[in-house]
Amino acid sequence: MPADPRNLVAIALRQPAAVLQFSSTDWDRLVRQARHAGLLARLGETLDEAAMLDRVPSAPRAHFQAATAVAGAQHLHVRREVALIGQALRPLDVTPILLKGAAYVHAGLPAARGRVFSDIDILVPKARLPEVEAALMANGWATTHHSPYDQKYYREWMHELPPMRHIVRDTVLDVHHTILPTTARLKPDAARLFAAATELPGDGVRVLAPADMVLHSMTHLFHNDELSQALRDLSDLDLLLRHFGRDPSFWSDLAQRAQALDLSRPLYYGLRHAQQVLQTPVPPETLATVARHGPGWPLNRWMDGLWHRALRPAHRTAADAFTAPSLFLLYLRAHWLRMPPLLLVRHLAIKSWRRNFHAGEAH
Amino acid sequence: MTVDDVRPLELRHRLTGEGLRLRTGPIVTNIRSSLAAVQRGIALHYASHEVEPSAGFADFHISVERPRTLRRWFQPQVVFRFDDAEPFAPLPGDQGFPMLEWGLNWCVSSHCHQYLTIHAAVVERAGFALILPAPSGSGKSTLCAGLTFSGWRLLSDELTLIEPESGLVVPLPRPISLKNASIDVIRAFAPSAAFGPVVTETTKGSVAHVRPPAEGVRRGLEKATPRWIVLPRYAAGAPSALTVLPKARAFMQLAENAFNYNVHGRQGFDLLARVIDGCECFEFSYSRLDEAVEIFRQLCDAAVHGLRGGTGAARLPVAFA
Amino acid sequence: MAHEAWSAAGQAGVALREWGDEWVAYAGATGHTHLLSAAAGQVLSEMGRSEQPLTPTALLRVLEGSPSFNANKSVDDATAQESMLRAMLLELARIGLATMRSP
Repeated sequence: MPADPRNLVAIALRQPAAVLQFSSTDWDRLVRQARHAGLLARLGETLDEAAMLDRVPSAPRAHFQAATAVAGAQHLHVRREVALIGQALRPLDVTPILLKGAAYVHAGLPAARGRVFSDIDILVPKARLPEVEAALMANGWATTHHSPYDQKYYREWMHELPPMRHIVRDTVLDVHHTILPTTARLKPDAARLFAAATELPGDGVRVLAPADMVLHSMTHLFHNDELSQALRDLSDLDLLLRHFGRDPSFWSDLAQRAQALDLSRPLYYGLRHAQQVLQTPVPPETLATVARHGPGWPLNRWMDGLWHRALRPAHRTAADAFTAPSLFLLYLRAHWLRMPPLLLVRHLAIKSWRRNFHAGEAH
Repeated sequence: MTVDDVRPLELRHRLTGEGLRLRTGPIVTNIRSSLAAVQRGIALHYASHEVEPSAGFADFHISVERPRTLRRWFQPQVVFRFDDAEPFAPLPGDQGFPMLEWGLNWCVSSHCHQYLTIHAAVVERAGFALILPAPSGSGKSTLCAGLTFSGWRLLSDELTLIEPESGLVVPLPRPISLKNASIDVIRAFAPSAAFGPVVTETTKGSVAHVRPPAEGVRRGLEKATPRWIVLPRYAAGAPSALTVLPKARAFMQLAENAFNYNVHGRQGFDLLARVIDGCECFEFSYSRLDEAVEIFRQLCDAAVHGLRGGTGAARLPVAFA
Repeated sequence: MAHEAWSAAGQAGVALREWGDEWVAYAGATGHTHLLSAAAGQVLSEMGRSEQPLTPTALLRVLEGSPSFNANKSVDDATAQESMLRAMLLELARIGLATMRSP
């Protein structure tokens, strides 16, 4: 697929030296796109690592510096918060698995670079969920989303607790017991994730094994109904693949694990789009193996078109006439994947009703 | 080219179209608004401010418009947009220009973390910066305006930007926002000052803006060395009195009034300590603006005199009974 | 109390500055900044200077000359002094500026 001139962020991420050719108008567009994509800090750190930051004109450079400062402060904050979560659950002998951004930061992975986030996500065994919730509440976390519908939506359909907010520190914690809702057509087995997870020294928390971490990142992105952070999620995936992919045995592990967890379709999309948009190096054999699990023609061409647009920054300078309809179709698809048809219709109807008549709580 | 140099028709054309690129100190903002009150406000208050070319880099892209809802026909509102996001709820009626000013403050306080940003007014004289941290209602804006029209250069009436590498204050010259009784006090104190219309429906009461002197705007890239930190407190009938504020407490005041102290972490602590090291710190109660201005003039003279190797340490100005 | 030893919160670091007889301290462990009395500041400063954790006895010696610590004494009594010191150390630990190490 040819380079996308609307996606200056992707261009700068995959080839930092390209920014040396940028005009001041390009810089203006790049900073706006990166800010809306949640990638301003990551881009700043990428340019810094490539020894390009000093060559960025001073006006845009200040924005990268500002974003990097915020990300750095957040990382310190997250480390403290994770330690407190581990402490709260230690008496139960539960070692939660950190997910997504918090895991990248805590494990010191390249995917932590410039990562900003609002919540911390953890995975705990389903059987221990009531005790975990009680222990968290005893340590100052309180549930949110109090309406019976919302509570049911989270607990029964999304298979997580409604987000918990700490009453003193005001931080938000999402507690999951599986990485996909079990009403979905794909049914990955959470027990395997726990068995493979690795412990991080000192803090009483674990992270997913490399292949699982990558697969979770892919399923999260390609099943998400809210795609404003899609390019950011793809960038996380790209950094994970580049890091773990240095080990040659990783790729066959990844393909096998995807089969075992019934996640081969998201793996197909993940590798395909990471390679196309961010030029992630993927071994040709892996791509060939995984291609079998992709959708057939013409569906794969249509999906390419939808994702091509969704994986641009969520900014007007990156959109075209097909962007809004593409996002809408992907939104429907995400809900279709989550729920049986009857539930889907009812859920979408309620969501739409609530959006029109209530401000606030959206999920 | 300044805003004053742009023909009114052209100004309106830019504001309604691709936007007017306005420079305020180090920040360039692309402003769009089809509202007449906003356009008039810009023409008045930003007359001496530089206009940057339309292409090129702008730090922020903002607009102030009527919301795109049916309500616009019954009950006019104004909304502030940052790119396409709306960080605040719409405001009623003709609060377009105040909305612009609050929005511009928000852009800087929420995003410009290359600086340590303190909620404080700051003015400059003889290269020295006088920082006035204070919550709303303490009289800091009145004092800031009084000093601005008494020979001090306005650096900001709301956001004190401190550059970490140098410890210097970076100017952000913009109109001074005054509320309620302050408006009449400054009208009387500085009869030649250019005021915009008084907007009466705001949550803070009546609000008006006053144009900053052109010279200060022209010198908008000249930084200043922090020299005095003064916590003002207006109290009706109070004699003007400067009392020494212990430095550790002044430090805590700055930290508590900083928007982004948390972002800077350890570096922020070290930077504030460095600022405090170089400053004299006071609490200041007053009721008469003319007395207050005189006290600060004496304070500055003492510092300048001390610099030139005068006899003895700088003394506190005499308090008025 | 005799077997305890205290040090400034090590891993995340503590930054201290003093003006007059008041101190400000940055706790790396929490990111918070605190205003401290002369006594607390001196104790923390001594802990920061020492490579080894310090026992309460050693810390009391530091405070001997401190007017603010001594002004609070109602009784010229080692036990009262120890209690005050202990309360101070516990508070410093609570806000992330000090940690206790048992030998």
